[in-house]
Amino acid sequence: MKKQFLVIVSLLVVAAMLAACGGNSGGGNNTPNNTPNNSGAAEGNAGGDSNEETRRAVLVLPEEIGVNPFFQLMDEGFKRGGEEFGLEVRTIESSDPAAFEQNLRAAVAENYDLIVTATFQAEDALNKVAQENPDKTFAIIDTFVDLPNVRSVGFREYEAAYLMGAAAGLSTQTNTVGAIVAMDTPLLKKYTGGFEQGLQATNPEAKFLVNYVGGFNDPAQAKELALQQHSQGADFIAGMAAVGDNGVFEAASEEGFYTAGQDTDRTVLDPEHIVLSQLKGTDAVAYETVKSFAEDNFTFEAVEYGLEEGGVGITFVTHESESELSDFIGQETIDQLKEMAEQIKSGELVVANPLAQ
Amino acid sequence: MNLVNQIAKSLLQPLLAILVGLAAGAVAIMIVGGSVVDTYAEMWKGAFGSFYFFTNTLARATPIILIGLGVALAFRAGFFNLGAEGQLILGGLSAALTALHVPGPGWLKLTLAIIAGIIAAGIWSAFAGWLDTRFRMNLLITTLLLNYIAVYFASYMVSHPFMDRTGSAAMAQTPMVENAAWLPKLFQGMSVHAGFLFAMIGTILLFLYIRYTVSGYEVRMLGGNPLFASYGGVRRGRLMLISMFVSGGLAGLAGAAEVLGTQYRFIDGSLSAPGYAWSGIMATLLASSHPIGTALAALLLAALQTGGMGVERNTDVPLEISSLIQAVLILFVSARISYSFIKNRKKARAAADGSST
Repeated sequence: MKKQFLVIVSLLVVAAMLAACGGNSGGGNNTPNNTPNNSGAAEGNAGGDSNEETRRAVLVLPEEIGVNPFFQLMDEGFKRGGEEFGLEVRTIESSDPAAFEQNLRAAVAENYDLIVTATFQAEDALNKVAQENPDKTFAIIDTFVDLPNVRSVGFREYEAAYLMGAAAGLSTQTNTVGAIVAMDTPLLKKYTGGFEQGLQATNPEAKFLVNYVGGFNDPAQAKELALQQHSQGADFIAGMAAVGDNGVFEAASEEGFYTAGQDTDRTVLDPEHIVLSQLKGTDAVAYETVKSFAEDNFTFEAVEYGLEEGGVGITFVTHESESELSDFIGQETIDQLKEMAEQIKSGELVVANPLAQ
Repeated sequence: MNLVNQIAKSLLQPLLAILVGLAAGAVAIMIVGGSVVDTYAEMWKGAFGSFYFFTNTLARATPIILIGLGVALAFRAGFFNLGAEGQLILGGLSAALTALHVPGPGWLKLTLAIIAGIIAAGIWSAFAGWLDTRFRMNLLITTLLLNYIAVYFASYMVSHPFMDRTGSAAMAQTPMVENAAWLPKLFQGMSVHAGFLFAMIGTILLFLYIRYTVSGYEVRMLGGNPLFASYGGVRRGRLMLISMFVSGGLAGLAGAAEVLGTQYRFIDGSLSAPGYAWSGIMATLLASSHPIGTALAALLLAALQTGGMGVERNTDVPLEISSLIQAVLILFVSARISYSFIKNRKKARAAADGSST
C-alpha cells in the first residue's frame, strides 16, 4: 500500500517537472524557433541542390544569447543576411569557454564555409583553432585577431562617442559632465576618448569627470559613483558600464540629473532622464559580414564600421527614437549634431582613434 | 553465478535511471516539437559519431572523472564532501599562478603547477575535515560553504592582483601560460589532453587502493560502520584528514588539468559554469562510489553534454535537453538514496522497538 503511494507520488513529481520544463523550453525557445525558415530553406536546398551548392555560414557565440541585446541583434542581422543572400545559416550558443572551443572546432569539422564569432571572449579559442586550420574562413566581430584567415570586424565607437560628448558640451549648464565607465582598459578608451574630444570641441571650459566601476555587472557601485559625480556638480553623466548603467539611471531618476545609455535605445526606459543613447549596430555588421562573403568580396583584414557604415550611431541624430526628445538637449543641439555627423561621415571632421595614440 | 547476479543487480538501478531519463527527455523533445529519433541520433553523433567527437567527449569527461573519484573516496569513508567546486577552482587557480610565476624550463613549471593544484585543493578540503574533527562542525555544511569562499577568492585574484592587462580585452583572467608548460594534447587538433591519462590512472589506482590495501579497508570500514571501525582501532580523525586531502587533491588535479590542458589560463567562471563539480558528484552517486563505475558514469554524463551540443548545432531542439535528462537522473538517484535511507531508519526503529519490549 505504502509502496504504491510512493510510486504515485514520484510519478506525479516527474509529470509536474516535465510540464514545467516543457513550458520553459517552449518559452525560452524563441531563438531556435526563429530558425525553421532557414532550416526549411536549407532542406529545400539540400533536396534540390543539383544546380548549385548552397554555401553554409555559422555564427558561434561564446555565450548564450539570453536577454543580451548585443547578441540578439547580431543573431538577427546574421540570419537576415543568410536569408537575403541565399546562405544556409545557423547560430550556435555556448554555455562556457570549454564548450565554446569545442563548438568552434565542431564548426570546422562540420565544414562550414564561413565561421563567424564575436567578442574578446572568443579570442583565445579562435587564435588556436584558426591557426590549426589555415584553409578555413573565419570572421570575428567586435575585436581584433591578427591572423591571415581571420577577418576582424570592429566598430569606431569613438565617432558616436564624439557626438555624445558634443551633445554634453552643448547642453550642460554647470559646465561639468561625467562618465561612469566599466573598467580602466584600453578597449573602453574608445568611448571616453571620443567623448572627451567632442566635449572639448563644443565646450572647451567644461570639466570631464571619469570614474571606473571595476566590472561590467555592478549597478550598485555604478550608482554610488554617479551620485558622487553629481555632488561634484555634473548635470549630465553618461553610463558606459554595461549592466552598471542601470545603476546610473537609477541615480539619475532619484537625483534628477541627465544620463545616457549604450548599445540599444535606452531612452525608452525613462525619457525624462535618459536623454540619449549611443548605438552599436551589431546586427548591421553581422549582416554586412554575410553579405560580403556572399558577394565574394570578403577579405582577411581588419574592417571597421563607424557612422558612415551605420555600425554606430546615436539616438535622435542618426537613428529615430520612440521617446520624446528632452528639453535638456533641445532640437537646436540635435541639428548641430546632425551636421557634425555628416561632417564625420564625409571625412571633413576626423575623430582621432584613442587606441592609436 | 552469484557474482554475475551481484553485478547485474548493481547495474540495474543506474541503467533504469538512465532509461527513465531518456524517456523523460523524449517527452520533452515531443513537447518542443522535435523528432525524438533524430534528436537522439544527433546526440549520439555529437558524443560518439566520429573519432573527433569521441575525443571531445573524453575531454569533457576528464575533469568529471577526476572529481568523481575524489568524491567517491570521501563517500566510501562516509564523508559527504560537497566542496568539489571550490577545490576544483583553487586547484586551477594555483596551477595557473604557479605556471606563470615560477622560473625554470617548461616541464618543471608544468610539474610544479600540477603539484601546486593538488596541494592547494587538498589543504582546502582537509581544512573542512579538520573543522569537523576539531570543532565538530558538520562537514556537509562546511564543504558546501567553503565553495563560496573559494569561488569569490579566485574571482578577486584574477580581477585584481593577477589580472591579464596585456591585451585590449577586459576579462577577469590570468595571462596565458607559456607554450612549453602546456599539458600536451593526445591527438593533434583534438581537445582531449594528457589530463585524461591522469584520470585513467587515477581510476585504476583508486580501485586497487580501496580493494586491496589495508588503509583502503579501513576507509571502507569507516564508511560502512564508524562505531565498529573505531572499536577495531581505526583513528577516525587521522583517516578523515587523509581521505579529505586526497579527495580534494583529485578535484584540484582536475582543475589544474583543465587550466593547463584546455584554456592555458585561469578564466573566472570557466570551471564553475560547465558544472564539472556537480556532474562529478552525480557520477559518484550513479555508480554508488565504485571507482570504475564512477569513471563510466562520468563518461556517460560527459557524452550527454557533448551530445547536447551536437543537438544544439544540428537540430532546433535546444541544448537544455541534456540538462533535463541529467536532472531526471539526479531525481531518480536521490530518490533511491532517500528511499534506502527511509528503509534503513524504519528497520532501525523496528529493531529498537523489538529490543525495548
